[in-house]
Amino acid sequence: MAKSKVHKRGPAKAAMNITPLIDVTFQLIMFFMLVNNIAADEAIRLKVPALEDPKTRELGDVNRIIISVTSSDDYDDKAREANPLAFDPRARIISVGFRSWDLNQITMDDAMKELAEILEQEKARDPDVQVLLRGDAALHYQEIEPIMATITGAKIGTVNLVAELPQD
Amino acid sequence: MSSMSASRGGDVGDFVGRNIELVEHDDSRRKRELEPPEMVLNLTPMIDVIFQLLIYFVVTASFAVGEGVIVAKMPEGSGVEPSPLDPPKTRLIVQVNSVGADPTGYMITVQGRPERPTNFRELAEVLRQMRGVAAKEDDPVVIQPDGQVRWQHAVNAFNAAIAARYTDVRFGQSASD
Repeated sequence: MAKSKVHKRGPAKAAMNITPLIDVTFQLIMFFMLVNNIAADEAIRLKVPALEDPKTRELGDVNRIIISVTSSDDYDDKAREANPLAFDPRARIISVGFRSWDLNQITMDDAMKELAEILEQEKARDPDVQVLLRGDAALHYQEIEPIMATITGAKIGTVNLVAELPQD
Repeated sequence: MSSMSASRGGDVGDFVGRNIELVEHDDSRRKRELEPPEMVLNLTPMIDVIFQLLIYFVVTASFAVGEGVIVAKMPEGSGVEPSPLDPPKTRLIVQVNSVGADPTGYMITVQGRPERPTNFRELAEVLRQMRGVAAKEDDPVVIQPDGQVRWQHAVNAFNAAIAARYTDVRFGQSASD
């Protein structure tokens, strides 16, 4: 039997080298995780209200429309964490799925008309659709009120207010 | 060991004056042939895998706090009209007002109660005390923030009513603008 050039004392043993397999597996896992994160980042960044004794819960697997409202599209994590309320209280960006409105370019009334159309279409497509309202913690209540009125106007009686989950 | 050093001495003697580096080279090659190969743990694949794991966790760690939902009824007056057959219920009205000096401050008033809760835990406590005494748990609780109240406080007041186990909590139209 031919001697191994490396191991002078005996023949080469047949061993399975699983290192490349593990490498490739991790590469695949990373790829899929990255792809998933991109999907999650479609929601615009804002700081939802932090609650005292939160009673929030996670919404199950339902068809949902997420409406995000914030005052600015440049989001500074550290500043927001330090003082979530020290920001412009006026709504500027409203976004639903891929559609978004900048209130510097369109009036609130026009944006609400378009939002109402979208909501009615979605409601017609799926009557059990859930609406999630992600408002930035710093906004004034009067900025969010017209959006809630629009949701009601689309005959959607309940809305899910998005806030921080309790930290276990 | 002593024989080794003796043979090395001999080798060095043979090559002295020619090339000292050649001597060293020859010596180490012979040593390798004589001694059994050393057992070496190959760390490279382990380090590879550990780096993969490290990058994986760094990338997937989400530093944002998880978001959850509270189910809310919409502002009254714009929603579905209540059926006239329903018996009238006492409504608990909770007002949340902004405070002039501090843009992020708030003031809570529960209608018909003298005390002013200073935070939302106290509000939940007041509402909890009222439940079963002045109010039933299915009585509507109407949160009435004024226009200048931050959304955080409005949602907090809402959450307090849910925490006090009221089943019908809704937003009212803003008290004043």
